[in-house]
This record gives sequence, C-alpha cells and structure tokens, in this order.
Amino acid sequence: MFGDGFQASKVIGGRRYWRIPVMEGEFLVAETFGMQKGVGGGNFLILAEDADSALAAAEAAVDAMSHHPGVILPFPGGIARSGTKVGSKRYSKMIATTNDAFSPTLRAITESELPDGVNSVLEIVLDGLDVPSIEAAMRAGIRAACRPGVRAISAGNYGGKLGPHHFPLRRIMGAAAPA
Amino acid sequence: MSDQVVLTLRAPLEQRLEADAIVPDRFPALDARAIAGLPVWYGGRAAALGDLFTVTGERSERVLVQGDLTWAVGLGAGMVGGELVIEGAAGRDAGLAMAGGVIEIHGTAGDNAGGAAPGASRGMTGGEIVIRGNAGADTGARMRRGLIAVTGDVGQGTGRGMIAGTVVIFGAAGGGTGRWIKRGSIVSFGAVVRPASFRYACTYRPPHIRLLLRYLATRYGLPVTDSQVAGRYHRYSGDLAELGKGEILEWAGA
Repeated sequence: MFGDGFQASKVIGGRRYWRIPVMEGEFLVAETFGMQKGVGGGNFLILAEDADSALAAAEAAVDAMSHHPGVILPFPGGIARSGTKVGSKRYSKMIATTNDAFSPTLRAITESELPDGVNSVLEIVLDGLDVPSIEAAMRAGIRAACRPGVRAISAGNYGGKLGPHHFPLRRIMGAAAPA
Repeated sequence: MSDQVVLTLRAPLEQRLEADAIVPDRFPALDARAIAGLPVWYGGRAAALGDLFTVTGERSERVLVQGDLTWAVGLGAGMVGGELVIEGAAGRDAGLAMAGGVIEIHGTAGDNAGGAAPGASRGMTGGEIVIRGNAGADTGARMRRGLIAVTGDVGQGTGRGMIAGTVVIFGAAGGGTGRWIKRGSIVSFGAVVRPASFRYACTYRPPHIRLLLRYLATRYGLPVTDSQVAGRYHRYSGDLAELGKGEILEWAGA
C-alpha cells in the first residue's frame, strides 16, 4: 500500500474511505467506486499578456468549471503550467516533451503558434464521463477565462494523434467552423 | 406492523431502570402485547415494560421513547440495527456495546454512551449515536467502530481507550479526552483538555472532516457551519503511550 502502514480508514454514512497521508496533507479516496469508460484529455490554452493575467483567467475558468457534473480537472488547482506535445524532436524514447510551440521563451527559435503580445500560457485539462459533459464545462471555462490581459484561447490538438475524441473550440463555442 | 413503536413513560422514574430490553432490532418480531411484557428491572425489582410505559404500535424497528429517562440505564445496549429515538434525557450506558443502527437522544446522555460493559475490551463496534445535548463521562470509551456526535459538552475521559471510530464534540471536552486511544478520531469544536501523551502534528484541512460534517448536517440536521466544514484543524497524534495512530482534531477556525 502506498500509505506504508500510515493509511487509516473511516466509515462515513455507510461508505468506507481511506485516508492516505501525503506531502500536501491527506488524500481521501472511497474504498469502492463504480467505473465506466470515459473521455480523457479535454483541454484549452489561455494565451495571456503576462503570467498574472494568465493565472487570474485560469482560476476564473476553474471556478466556472469545477461545479459542472461529470467532469474533473485532474491537475492540482485545475491548472497546468507545463503543457506538453506528443513525442520529442530530440529524444526518441520520450512520449511527451515540452510544448515548444506554445512556450513564449522559444518563440524566436521554434515554429511558434503564439500571437504577438502573448508572454504566458496556462492550460486547463479536464476528463469527463462523456463528450457533452466535457463540452459544457469547456464552454463555461472558456467564457470565464476571457478577461483583461487574455489575448486568445487555443487548444492542444497534438496533430490529431492523441486519442479518438476531438473538441474543436469553434464548434463548442457555437461559432461556425472556418471554411 | 406500524411505522414505529412509541413508548411513553406513564410516570416520572424515581429509581434506576435497567432498560436494556429497549432494543429496536428485537421489536419487529413483537406485537404490542409482547413488547409491553418485556422484562425489566425497576428499583431492583422485576417488572414489565408495560408497567412503566404505554406502548403504541408494534412490529417496527423504529422505536420512539418519550419521557425523562435519566434513570434508565442501557437504552439500546447491544443493538445491531434499527433506530431508537429518545425524546428526553437518557441515563448511563446508552448504546453500550452496540454494533449497528442509530440512537438519537434529544436531551442529555449519561456516562459511558457507546462505551463498553465493565471488564469488556470493546465498546460499540458499529452504528451511530447522536446526542443533542451534553453527554457524561467516558462517552465512546473503548469503542471499536462507529460514530458518536454530541452537540453539547462531554465529560471526562471521552473516547478513553478507543480502538477506532469517531467522536465529534461540538462543545467542550473534559479532562483525559482520548487517553489511551489506539486509533480513531476525536473531533472537537470547543475547548479540549488533551493528555500530555498527545503530540502536535500540523494544522490542515482534513478532507474526511468535510465529508463527515456534511453527512451529519444532511442526515441528522446538526448545526454545522460552513467555517467548520471548510475550516482548519490542529491535529494531535496519540496516544503515544499506546499505538499512537489516533488523533484529536481541534477546530482552528476558518
């Protein structure tokens, strides 16, 4: 057991939970829970003028998304600062490496996808029970993230190589897809 | 079969009543006459339950007892299921060594609620006791599993020798709270006198407390505040004179 003997169980309302001490404090998990096939890795990127604006927008998005049923935001605080691309340009065995196209400090030496004026990018990743749940949460999160200092919202497409589900932002937000 | 069996005290008790016949999980098999005929001891003399209580309803595992039962000892002792609601005070040993079911006391509870019989190694091994008032000494002593919630103050030795389980105290806790516990949680929102053999660990927001308090508010309507649900708690590990895997969680505010 990960808890190395320090884990403790607690029964609340007839359900048994396990408390596992971790560096952050305590991890709580139900002893038994249902499983179903879900959808992983929905995401969008907040492209902002500076780190403060990016963080404020990301936190607003997390607030708007965290109460949506059927989805979770798996990263601590719901925010990822270290987005990845699939594979590597240099190390053949790496399955994911730094997302250079969206890294501001690499704008001058890589094929950047950052518009002018963008100096910080944060990513929101979400997993869900089904596609409609993820789309509804993304819609709410993107709307909340559109605040001063945010230049654009994008998403990691990964060349369409990462999984069967795709979430085109224009369709999700109700706009017509470009011809 | 009725929704519930109601036992109403005919006259105030003036002597000790051995009330361990009032155990809800036995009542589904009994009609009103059989319930009234259950043997009890009152003032050291043999009596029938019907001599002291009027009985309404039959064959139900929900039992409502009305009256001041401060003199009644062992209400719900050893029960394994069902629901016992006491509208009034309860005497000592309520829920003694119970293994399941729910006891709700709308008044004060005497000593040793959910505790162990003399010489026994274990107190309650399951179920839930909710006391809407103060509780006496040794509440939850030697309990092995289960939950006790007290909306008022508790006496000395609360949770003494607990093996596991949870005691939640919304008021103050007397001296010796948690002494000799092996595992288990004592959650306190008022002043608590800790034994010297507890050591401070940290101040944090325990995720299971959030779940537990929401459960108590939803299931029993206890007056839980948002600042208690989302608040920080001082964690003291103990009893270090024993296994040391127990804890006293003292509310530290929002």
